[in-house]
Amino acid sequence: MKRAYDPTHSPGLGAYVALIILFLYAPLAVLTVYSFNGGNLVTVWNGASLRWFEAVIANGDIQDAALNSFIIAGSATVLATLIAIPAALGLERASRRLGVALGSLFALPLLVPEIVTAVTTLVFFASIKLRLGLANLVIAHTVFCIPFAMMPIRARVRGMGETLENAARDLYAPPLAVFRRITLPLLAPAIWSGAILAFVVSLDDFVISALVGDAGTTTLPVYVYGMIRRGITPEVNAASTLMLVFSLILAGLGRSLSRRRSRR
Amino acid sequence: MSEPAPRKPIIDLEGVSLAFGPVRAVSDVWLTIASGEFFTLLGPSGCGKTSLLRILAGFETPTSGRVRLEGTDVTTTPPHLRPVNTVFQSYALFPHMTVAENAGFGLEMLGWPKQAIRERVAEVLALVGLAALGDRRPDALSGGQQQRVALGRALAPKPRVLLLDEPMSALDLKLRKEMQNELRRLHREAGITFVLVTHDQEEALALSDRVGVMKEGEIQQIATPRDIYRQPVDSYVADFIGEANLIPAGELDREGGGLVMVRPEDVSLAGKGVPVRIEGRLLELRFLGSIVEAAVATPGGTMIRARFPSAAMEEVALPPGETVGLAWPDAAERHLER
Repeated sequence: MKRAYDPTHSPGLGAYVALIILFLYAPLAVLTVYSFNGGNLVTVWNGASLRWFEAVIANGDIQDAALNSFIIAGSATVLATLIAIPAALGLERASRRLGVALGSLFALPLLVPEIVTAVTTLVFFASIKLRLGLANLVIAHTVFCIPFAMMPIRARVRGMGETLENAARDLYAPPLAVFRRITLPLLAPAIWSGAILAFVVSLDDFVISALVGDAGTTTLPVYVYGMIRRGITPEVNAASTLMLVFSLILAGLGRSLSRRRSRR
Repeated sequence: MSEPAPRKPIIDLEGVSLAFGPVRAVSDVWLTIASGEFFTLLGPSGCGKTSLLRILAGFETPTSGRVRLEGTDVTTTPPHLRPVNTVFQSYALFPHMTVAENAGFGLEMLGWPKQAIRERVAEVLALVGLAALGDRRPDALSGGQQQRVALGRALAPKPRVLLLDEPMSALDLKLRKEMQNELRRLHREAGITFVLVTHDQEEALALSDRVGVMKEGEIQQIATPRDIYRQPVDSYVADFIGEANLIPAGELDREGGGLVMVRPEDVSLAGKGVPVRIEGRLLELRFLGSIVEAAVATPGGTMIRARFPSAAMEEVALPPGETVGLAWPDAAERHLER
């Protein structure tokens, strides 16, 4: 009897997958390992040590940059989420044609090359003479965070339908109570995973932060880039490793939240 | 045939229509439902019965016409301001609340004090047989139990009217029978007007005081289950409710055209001394235990089904293909225009 093609039984598949994983993660592994390097060179191993982590933590400039990154990512996440919640509800419940048209408008920041967004934002801010320091970056980040914050919320709104809200309305709940007691709690897991996604995207952003920012608004990725230009020491590795670990923690948190949602 | 004593009307639909663009979901419905009545809207899917229920609940605003509740015009009143509660087809239980919180939600929104809510919730959960499950989440309940929570939740605020949207469609046959009895009991005990939407004619006949049969957005007939069955207004209603033989009047040598309707249980094989209404060829004789079912084709090409007690067949053994005479009493037939 002829069997259907089962890709999991192809010869050499295991080796192929191992190769891909190696290709994806070897650089990260090397970077992480060398952040524990005791020597002064990135490429030469000289015993294990935590000295570069100490250097990173003691480095006032890195502290400032990290603080900037967190302020920007935190503010942009909150703003983007506050915009994404009503936008997701509106887009899913507007007429189909309107939803599709406006939906692609909201997704545009994902499609426009980042450098284009960065340059136009820079020119735009300059032309209206907007010089608010960190707030300039918060605005720029909020814009590209919105689609990320909105994606999981839209999916959840679509999956949820309107029946539960109708049931609440039927049970004497006025519109605001429906939103507070039914809509919001049911959307909460999606809102959290959207917010975490937005936060990570903002934290990792380089191009827009580098172009739109100025001397006082250096973010962590921009600072790390600067370190490389001044000469690479394992301090760069240590800073990158810390960012990596932090991003992984957030991603894991987002995953467990979306798992909890799908169990519901 | 005794009409129930006229009661105070609670729902008045006055020429209600609902259009979605070019599609008329409900068209020109006039209907009065009496206080305390068990009224059923019956029809196939897409006949507009659910739309009509949504108009009563306030989820849809009619394109034209008026809805009155206890005399008050509620045509444009939003759902949360209507003393009407709904049992949804999918139950629509709030997944993030316990059974007790679900049941108490309406009371909470009405601003009842906490203690009073607790008492009423306990009362309602006992009424639907779920007294012990108040702390469970809906997803930890079986379908039948969820159905009961939905019923309890809708009854808790003591609405003037309870709307039920195909509440039994997700249950298996045994549970459905059980819930039908349960519904009858709740209707009796709660003394509330029930409006049920269903496509199940048996359910409609078994539960209701009156039935409205719907077709393509219009109500074809409003009558008691007995009258709907015995005196359908047209072939659509006759065919939808139970089984019906629809014989062109011409085949029976009647004047004026139209159709003659006879229920299969009224038709018998004509014995000696019984006037034959029509003759036909026996296609099939099926023994079903207590009853026998016969299928007879008339010369005009109409198929007539007859159902009679098998005791009456004992002496007769007819082979298929035989020509037989069919008989029925005068009172059993009804002349339909279409």
